[in-house]
Amino acid sequence: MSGLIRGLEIARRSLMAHQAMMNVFGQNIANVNTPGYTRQVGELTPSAAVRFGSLSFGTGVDLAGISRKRDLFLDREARRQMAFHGERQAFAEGLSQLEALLNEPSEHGLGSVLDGFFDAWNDLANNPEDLGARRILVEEGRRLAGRFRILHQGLQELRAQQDLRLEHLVIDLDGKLEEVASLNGGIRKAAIEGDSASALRDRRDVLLEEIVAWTGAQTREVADGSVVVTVDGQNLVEGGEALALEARRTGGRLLLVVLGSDRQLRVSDGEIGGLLRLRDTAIPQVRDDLDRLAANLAQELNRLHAMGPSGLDFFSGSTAADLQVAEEVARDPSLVNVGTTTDAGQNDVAGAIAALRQRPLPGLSGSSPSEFWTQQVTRVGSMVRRETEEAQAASLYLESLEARRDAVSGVNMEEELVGLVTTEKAFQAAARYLTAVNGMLDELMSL
Amino acid sequence: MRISTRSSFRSSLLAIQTASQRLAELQTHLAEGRRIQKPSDGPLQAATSLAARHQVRSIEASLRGIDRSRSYLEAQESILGSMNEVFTDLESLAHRGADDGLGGASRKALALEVDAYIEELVEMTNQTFGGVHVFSGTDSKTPSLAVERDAEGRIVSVNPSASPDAPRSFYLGDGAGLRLGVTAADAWGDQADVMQDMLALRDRLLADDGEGVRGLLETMEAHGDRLRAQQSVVGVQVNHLEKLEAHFLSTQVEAEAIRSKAEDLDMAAAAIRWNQETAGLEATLTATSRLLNLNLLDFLR
Repeated sequence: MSGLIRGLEIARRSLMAHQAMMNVFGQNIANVNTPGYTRQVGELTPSAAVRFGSLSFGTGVDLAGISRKRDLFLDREARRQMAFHGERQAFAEGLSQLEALLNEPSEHGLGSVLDGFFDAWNDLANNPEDLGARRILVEEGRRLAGRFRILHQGLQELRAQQDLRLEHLVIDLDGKLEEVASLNGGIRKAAIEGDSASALRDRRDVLLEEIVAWTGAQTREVADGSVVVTVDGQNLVEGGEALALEARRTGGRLLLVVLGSDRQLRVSDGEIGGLLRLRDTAIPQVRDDLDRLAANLAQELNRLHAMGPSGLDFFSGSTAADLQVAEEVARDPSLVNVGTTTDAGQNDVAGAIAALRQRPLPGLSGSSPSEFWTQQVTRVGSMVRRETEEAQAASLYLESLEARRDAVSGVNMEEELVGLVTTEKAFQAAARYLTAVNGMLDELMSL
Repeated sequence: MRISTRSSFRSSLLAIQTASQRLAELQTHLAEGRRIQKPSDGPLQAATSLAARHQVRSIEASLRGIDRSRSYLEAQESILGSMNEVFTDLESLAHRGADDGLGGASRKALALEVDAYIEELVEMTNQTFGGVHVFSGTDSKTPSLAVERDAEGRIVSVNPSASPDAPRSFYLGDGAGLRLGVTAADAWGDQADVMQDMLALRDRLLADDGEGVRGLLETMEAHGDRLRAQQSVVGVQVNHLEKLEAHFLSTQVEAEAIRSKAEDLDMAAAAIRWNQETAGLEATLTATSRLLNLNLLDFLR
């Protein structure tokens, strides 16, 4: 009789365990498309055996636990790669915008406008008496100065865009750090209660990956199940507490500062690192080179122009931002100096300026203005190509890591369906077993 | 290796996106007919293209300069040709005036002819081309010669008016000014000496001074040679410009070819690649659609 009662217990345990397993499969199937979801696996184990004399009898099956399938090594590697990819991607995208701003090679780029300007000087040198040629020259001068200004403004706007993006990222980052801290608290509490808190951990992992992809932060799980998030040696999340960050503009630079302590964080990885590199290195370099070109061109041209009878400078200003045709010359093109004397056919000044097109200038590292500009365009193009290729390579590697991680943590619908069918069959068999044991008990009871 | 359902979908989507992106890029290149649309498409080719563009623009400016300078020289050459004809007539007239058998009335008539020749030569020398005095060099807004007349309107002296320090310079590409053409000083002497001698010839004819006229014959011949030499100088310069133009035109073609090779799309190769990429995208779409439709749910009863 006690054996049959044990049979009922075996059937009960089996039915309960397989019901629970059905829930695990159901949960996995329901989350097949949920980003960051980690598949769960129910662990069935035979329940403790009982001895009856010299014999040992099994007591059925138990669901020992439900575990999340994660590979910590892959997680670490993927996060490291996310930080690298985030930096490369942000930098490459920004550089592409910068490259588009240069608008080369085209008929409307600075190179072409420079050519048009020198063409006008050449034409004036060969038609020194022609007032029309002077007017055209002044227009070409305005066009060139305008192109310098447009490029300068474009670079400023591009930088302002990065600032705005950085500020929004930092605001979002604060929210995510806060949420991670809150999830830390929930996970710690759940751990005390013996709950694995899978959903909370999944959500926290998603947030951590975003934080790492933005900042290149280091993450470390501690014994109580909470995660410490560190950037530049500063713990931003520790237990249930998170520090708030602020993007602060100081002296033309954008600093990431911990609110309250004013501690400045140096972020060189992740999307924020890429944006800062673009903002503080790539854009200023192009802007400085543009200013250098404008300054050297204006200086040398003005030196030659001032040799003429009017003694005036042709350009005023000395940077890409403020370069323009001198007001008196713009107002009265007859003040354009074509020659060193007042002779109408004297054209040595215009000829010398026209020759600047191909003349190496010391301030431009021995390159002519056109060569210098070509070098800058080529340098930006090479940088874009290299950074884009590196971002693509990082993306491919990250994709392969994601695939490997998915192989461990992702849900495979077919696998779950097979598990579902297996569990259903086991449940049916357990029910049948229960019916059989019940029938046997009925037989006994009816004696 | 396990393949998760999400990973399988994601890699299918990634494959479609990659193939579509390659097609879109190729489509843009085909639409523009250019291989290099931005420097990163090929930094080396972009540098070559930009350098070739600069060279083409520079050559175009030089060709415009050649056009301008050639017109100027041709105007000078044409005027010098006419001057030479007039001067040859003048030389012949001087020889007639030196003839002992010629009477005073005839010499007076010849003197009137000389007067007319001088007027003609002064007018030719002061001729303008495109608003520019052709023989005034850099002082191009001032007539080359100034005349003084007596009460009857007869020229009594001819002096240089413009003060050119040199012939005009033209800038034809190498950065250095090329001095082209001749000035009135080249044709008539620094102080318009030839004109002074022509006036002397007229005056001696008027004075029926046969001996004096004979004394000028050698000088007039020398002046004629000098004038013809100036025409030759201009002719040589025109020839030089033609050679220079031919050189620039050939360099322009080479520069255009370099630019085109660096920048323009090989349409045949692009069309073949388009077919390859299209076939690749179609294959990816077909494979994805089959993969998406393949589900164990459809087979379970």
